[in-house]
Amino acid sequence: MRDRWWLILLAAALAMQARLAFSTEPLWYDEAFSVLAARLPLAKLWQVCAADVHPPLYYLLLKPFLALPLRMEVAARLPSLVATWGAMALLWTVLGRLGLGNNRKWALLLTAWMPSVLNFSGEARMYAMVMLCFVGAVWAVWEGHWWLAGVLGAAMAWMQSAALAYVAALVLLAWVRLDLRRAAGLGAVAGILYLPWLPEAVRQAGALRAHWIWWNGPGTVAYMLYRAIFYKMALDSVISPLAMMVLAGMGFWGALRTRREILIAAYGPPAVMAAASMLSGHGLLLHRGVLPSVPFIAATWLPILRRRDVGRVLQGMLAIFLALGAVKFAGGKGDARYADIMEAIRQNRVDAIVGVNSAVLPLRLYVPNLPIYVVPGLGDILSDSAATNLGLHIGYPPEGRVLFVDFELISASRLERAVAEWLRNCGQEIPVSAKDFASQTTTLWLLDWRPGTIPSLRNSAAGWRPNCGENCAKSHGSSSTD
Amino acid sequence: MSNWHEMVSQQDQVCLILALLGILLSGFVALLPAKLRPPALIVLVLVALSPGLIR
Repeated sequence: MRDRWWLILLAAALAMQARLAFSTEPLWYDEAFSVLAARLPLAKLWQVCAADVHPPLYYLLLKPFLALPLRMEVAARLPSLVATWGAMALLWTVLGRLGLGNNRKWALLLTAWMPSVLNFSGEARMYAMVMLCFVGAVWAVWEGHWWLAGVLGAAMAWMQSAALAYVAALVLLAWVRLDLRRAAGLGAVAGILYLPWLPEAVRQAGALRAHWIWWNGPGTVAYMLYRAIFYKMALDSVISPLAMMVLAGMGFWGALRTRREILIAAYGPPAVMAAASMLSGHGLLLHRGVLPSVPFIAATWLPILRRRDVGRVLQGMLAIFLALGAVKFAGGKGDARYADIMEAIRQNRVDAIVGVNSAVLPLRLYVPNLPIYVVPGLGDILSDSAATNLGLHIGYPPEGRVLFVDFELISASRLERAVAEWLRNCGQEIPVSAKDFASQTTTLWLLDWRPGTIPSLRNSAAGWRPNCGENCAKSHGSSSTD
Repeated sequence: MSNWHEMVSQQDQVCLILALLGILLSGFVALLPAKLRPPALIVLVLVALSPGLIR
C-alpha cells in the first residue's frame, strides 16, 4: 500500500518536472544567455564565456538540442529535464550504496519534490546537468572508479565555475572512502582536464564585479542553503522563518546521526564555497550552485523524520512546505513575461530598444529584428565584449523612436537612479506588467531620441559612479571600475 | 528594493538568528519526555508562524 503511494507521488513529481520543461513560458535573462551563447561558433563562444563567469561546456551540450525540431523554449529546457531524470535514476543506486536502505525511497521522493529541483529541471541552465554529474561521480567513487569521478568532476567545473567546490568535495570523499593515493589521482585527472580553462578562470576570478559583493556572514550561508531547497515557495514571506528554523534544527540533529560520506556530499561543497566567499569577500555561494547537494541534504533529514516521537509532526510540516512549493510551480516557473513589451512594440513605432543588458538581452530572441542598445556604463551583468558578441550594441542609438526598458536589477546604483529621473523628465511611460525576474519591476519609456538628448545624457553620466551600487565606493574606494 | 546591499546584510543577521533558534529550540524539545515532544513542537511551530501571520 505504502509502495503504491510512493510510486504515485514520484510519478506526480516527474510529471510536474516534465510540465515545467515542456512549458512555452518565455526564457528569462540567464536562459536567454544560454541560448544566445549556444548559437555562437566555438571561438566566439569561448570569448563570451571568458568574459562571463562560467566555462563553455554546457552551451556546447545545448547546441544539438537547439537543432531539434522543437519550440526554442522546449528545446533549450529539454537537457535539464533529461539530466534531472538521469540523476533521479542514478540516485536510487547511490543512496542504496550509501546505506540508506529503505530510507532511500523517501530521500528520492523528497528530492523529486524539492522546489529547487522542480525549478531547475525546467530551466535552460547547467544546474541540473551539474547535479547529474555529481551523483554519477559519487557513484564512481563508491565503485572505486576514481578516474571516472575525476572526469565527471572536470565536466562539472567546465559547466559551472562554482562546481570547483564539488571537485574538492569529491577528492575528500575519495580519501574517506578509498585512500589518499586514489583521491590524489581523482584530483589530478580533474585538474589536468580543467587545465585549458585555468587561465580564463584566473582572469574571471580577478574580474569579479564589485556588485557581486554580498558576503555578509554565516546567516547568508544558512539562507542560501534554505534557498537551495525551498526556492520560490508560495507564501514564502510568511512560512520562511518557520521553514528556516525547522530545516536548521533537522539538519543539525540529523547530521549527528548521518554517516560522514553523506555529510561530505551534502555540506562539503557549500562549506568550501562559504570559505572561499569569506576569504575573497565575494558571494561565491549561490543557492543554484548547491543544487547537486540537495539529494544528500534530504538524506541527512531521514534519521529525524523516521523518529517515533516527532517524526510524524516533522513529516507533516515538510509535506506542507513541499506542497507550498508545488503550488507555486503549478502555474509555471513565472520568471519572465514579455507580452506587454511586444505589445508596446506592435502598437507604437519603435526604431530601437535601449536598456540595461540584463533586461534587454532576452529581447534579442523575441524581437530579433530590432536593434538593441546598451548605453555605455549602463550594462550590469554582461561585460561590453560579451554583450557585443551576443548581438547587443554598446553605444547610443541613432535618432528615432526609442523604447527604453528600465529594469531595477541593481537599483542601488546612482547611475540607474539618475537615468530613471532623466527618463521621467523626457519620456512617455507605458504601463506594463512585464518582468524578467521574480522580484524586479520593469518600466517602459517611449521617447524621441534626438542628437540633443545624447549630450544631456552624457553630461549627467559624467557625474555618475560606476554601476556597482552605493557600497562599491565604500568597499573598494574610488579605484573600482565596472 | 531601495538599497539591495543594506537589505542583504539585515537578512544575514535575521537568518543567522533563525537558524540558531531552530537548533537550540529543537535541542530543548529533545530534552522533554517523549510524550510531550510532539505537542511542544506544534506549539513552537505556531509561535514561529505568528509574526508572519500577524503581518
